[in-house]
Amino acid sequence: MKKWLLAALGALSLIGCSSNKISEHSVQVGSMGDISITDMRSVRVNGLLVAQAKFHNSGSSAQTGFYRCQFSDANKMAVGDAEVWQPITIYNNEDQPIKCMATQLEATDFKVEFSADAKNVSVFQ
Amino acid sequence: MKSKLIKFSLLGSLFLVGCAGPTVSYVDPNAVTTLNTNFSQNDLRAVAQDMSTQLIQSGKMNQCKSFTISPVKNATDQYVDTSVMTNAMADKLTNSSAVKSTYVVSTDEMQNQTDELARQNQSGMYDQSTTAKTGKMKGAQCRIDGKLTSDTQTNGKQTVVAYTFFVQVFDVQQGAAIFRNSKNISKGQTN
Repeated sequence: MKKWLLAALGALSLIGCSSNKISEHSVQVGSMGDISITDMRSVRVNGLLVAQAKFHNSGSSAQTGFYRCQFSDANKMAVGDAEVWQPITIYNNEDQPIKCMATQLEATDFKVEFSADAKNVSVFQ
Repeated sequence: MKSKLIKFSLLGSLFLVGCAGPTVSYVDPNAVTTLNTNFSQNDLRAVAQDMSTQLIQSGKMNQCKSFTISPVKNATDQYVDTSVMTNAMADKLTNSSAVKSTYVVSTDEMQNQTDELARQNQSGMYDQSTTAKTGKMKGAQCRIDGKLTSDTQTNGKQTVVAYTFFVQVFDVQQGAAIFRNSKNISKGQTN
């Protein structure tokens, strides 16, 4: 009985967290440099969508990129306002995950925007 | 006559070039600004956004029927308008469909609130059946508290400023913290 319960719980947790097609959920703003997105997944926590993208730096030195997330509802309407670009440093050969969290229950889909070049997302350089 | 015309147009164009002032343009308010190591408006919004998102996601706000935000303490050596942070956090929490808690008047907004109540009740100008009554305001069950600190390290031409924004949510009656988190931002400059 216990075994069945554990198996059912395991299956439910797998359904709860799903991996996503990277191209459908990512937007490259300018160059990606040596950075690539290697994994994309999402899960619902307290009814809110949490998205995770894993960045990998295949270059020989650390690189600082910028990312932000956009959420949309079931009708593909944007949920919430555009957010501030966040910096992230990815060291060479490192996998660095970033998490974005929706603040609206209506959010059902997400996109992660990334730019490896500060010039694309900066006001002045 | 023709040469005079050319001279005038040349002088005119030189005058225009000489008077060219600074270029002004609209820029994306969400864009990255790295003009110096100061805590910028974007940093303010980014940390407030991050903290309120974490707070919403934790589900802890729904333990409070009502909440207020105390002014964020600025423990840096810069002038930082921390009301931008408190307002950004209050906006995000109030507008989230996942937060059932109601935002009530904060310390900063109290003077305007009491002024309005006094105007309606004490000026003698209003029909008393239509005025908001005193003594009916809702007290906050929870209070959000924040503090911004900075640490500057310099070595010759290099400067690194590390900022930390702490956020805590207290149950006002019990004084117990129901949520604590912090966000770090470091900015470096080479002259």
